[in-house]
Amino acid sequence: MSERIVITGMGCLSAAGNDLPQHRDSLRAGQRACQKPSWFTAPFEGPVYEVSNPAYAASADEMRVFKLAWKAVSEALSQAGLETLPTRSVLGIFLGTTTACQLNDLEFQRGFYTGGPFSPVSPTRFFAGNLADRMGRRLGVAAGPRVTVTNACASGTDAMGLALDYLRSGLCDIALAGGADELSLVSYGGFHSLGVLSPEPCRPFDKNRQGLNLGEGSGVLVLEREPAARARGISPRLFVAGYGSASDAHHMTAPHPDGLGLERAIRTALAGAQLEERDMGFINAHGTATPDNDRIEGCTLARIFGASTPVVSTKGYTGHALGGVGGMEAVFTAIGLEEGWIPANVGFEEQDPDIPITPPRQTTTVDGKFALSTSLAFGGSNAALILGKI
Amino acid sequence: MDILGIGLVAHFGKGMGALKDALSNGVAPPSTYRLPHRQEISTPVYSIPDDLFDIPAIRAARRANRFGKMAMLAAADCLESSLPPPLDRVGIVLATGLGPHASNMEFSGGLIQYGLDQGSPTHFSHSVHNSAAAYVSNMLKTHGPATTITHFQSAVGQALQVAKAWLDSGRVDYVLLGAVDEIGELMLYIFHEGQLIDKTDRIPGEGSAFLLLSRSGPASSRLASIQPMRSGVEADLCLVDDSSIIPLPTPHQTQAVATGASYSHLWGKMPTGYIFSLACAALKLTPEVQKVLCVDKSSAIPAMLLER
Repeated sequence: MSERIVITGMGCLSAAGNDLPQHRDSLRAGQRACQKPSWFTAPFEGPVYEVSNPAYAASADEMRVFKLAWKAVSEALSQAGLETLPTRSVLGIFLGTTTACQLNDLEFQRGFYTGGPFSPVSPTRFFAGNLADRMGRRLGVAAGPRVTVTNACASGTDAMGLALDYLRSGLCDIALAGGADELSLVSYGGFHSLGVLSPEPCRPFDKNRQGLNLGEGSGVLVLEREPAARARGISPRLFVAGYGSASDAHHMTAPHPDGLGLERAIRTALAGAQLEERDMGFINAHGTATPDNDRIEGCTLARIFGASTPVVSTKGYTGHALGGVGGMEAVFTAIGLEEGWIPANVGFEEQDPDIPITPPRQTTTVDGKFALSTSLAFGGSNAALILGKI
Repeated sequence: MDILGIGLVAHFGKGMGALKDALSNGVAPPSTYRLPHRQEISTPVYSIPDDLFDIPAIRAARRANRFGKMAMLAAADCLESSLPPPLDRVGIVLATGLGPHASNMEFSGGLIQYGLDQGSPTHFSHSVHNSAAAYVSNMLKTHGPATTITHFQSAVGQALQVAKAWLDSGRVDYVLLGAVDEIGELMLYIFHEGQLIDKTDRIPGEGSAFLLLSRSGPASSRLASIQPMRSGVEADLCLVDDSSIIPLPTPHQTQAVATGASYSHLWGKMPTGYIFSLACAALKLTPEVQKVLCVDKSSAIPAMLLER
């Protein structure tokens, strides 16, 4: 078996907290942090999970999403003891996103469509804002892979999967991997147009769920080959055991009705990790709270793992942060695995008879050496990441 | 890695035959694109003729946008050019610079014109960057991994590295590596007005190309092998790609500027145009020309060596 890829640092930013300790407290306490959008109004209801700190507002030279990503990256590097990168180590940067790669500035576009003037600030910032590339420049790293993954809501998880493969292939020595996304009026209007935005706080897996809430933030892991990490004096406690990705080849927005792509992604991850279904201590599900996602995901997970394996969605704490959420949920999975608990699946009250899993209604002790995090996305992308305890 | 097949579509037509013809005879003049919302602005463009989209596979994807259709055309052409791989062992890596920005702008335009609650769900779902990879996967019924890599300059180079990592790790046995970028109103306007690019001798273009890649195998089964240029190796021919549109600092700026033939004028300026230069390099391989070096003039992509 090849060298283990260990987690040596983590960082996270969302409406649920500015750093890891705050997230741990929020999740343990079952605290929701959703609210009405503070900076825009819309002719429909839909709470969001905002990062309220004004320090992350867009500036003339940096997009908001970059600032959100930078916060998690800084925290992760600090935790890994990598404020200064080791000489001769190649750092790979793998970040998933959606909004960093779209010029979602309605004010700018309004000027365009109405024949009015426009400021070049927005497009200039956009063209200089490729997330992984900009992160590399901010870190002052001259070489190494800088990959911005744009697989919609699976972007963050797929970015970590790429990091795993690059580390195993020797294409980099240290990887920053995860994702970031910002709340956008365009995304807000978009998910409303699809009819999947909930007018109330989201209720993942609940019988009466009405859809998702959008969120924003970032989640990043520092990954390294185990011998290199130990050579720097680090004693890692967690590792990335496996990753799988698969396509539904079915529909642009609807998941495969039998979850075949998700099952294939999970089974690929299990096979790569040389694990059995029974090895999973718990599952951090995508669990967006849309009727289709939760039914299909819940049924697929129950079919693979049985109905008794603990399954939780943490969207009730962060909202759906699109390309950033895979990174966040990997962090939550890591915390739960290391400390032996999963948070309450906030919003879940009434069992859906069509979903054969029962998420926890309160913080719950879990056991096991491995845990799974899943992501499903537009276009039929499915990703599964397995973390293990050393 | 081995290149087993190449498919492409651009202003000059569809397929390697069309590219070969363009290399010999040049291409039709660019068309003129007058921006619908800014009638005072028109610009020459190398756009794909609409009749190329009129095939059953594309007609079946009736909701697909131009971005997705270009990718579908090129991917289908690629598989027609090679022995069909076992589809359950194929992964898709798609490179793009700007993504489906026309759909994104159409969706945003709808919000501006009609209101935040009147957006088009079709435009929105097609505005995500992985929509083209999803259409390709759906058309071919591949169930392996599909990932989209976005970068304004080096997406093709990054995609090649992803393909290598997937093949080396055994995640897949074949990679359908594609690139796609489209012409769109707002981006042309930004290019025209925003002083963001070097506009000297530039005609924006659009198109898509796919390479079917595998781990290195017998020479008889491949069109070419492809790998980063190694020191000490001398190429018989050097091609310089000059497709890049945005002159930003890149991590590979120390690479020496090479001289050689450039054919970028055949497809126009687009972020992922380098993939067409790779296709040209494959065409240039003959018993006399065993090694062709393909250099990105902007130095964003490490030079790649194609060998027979």
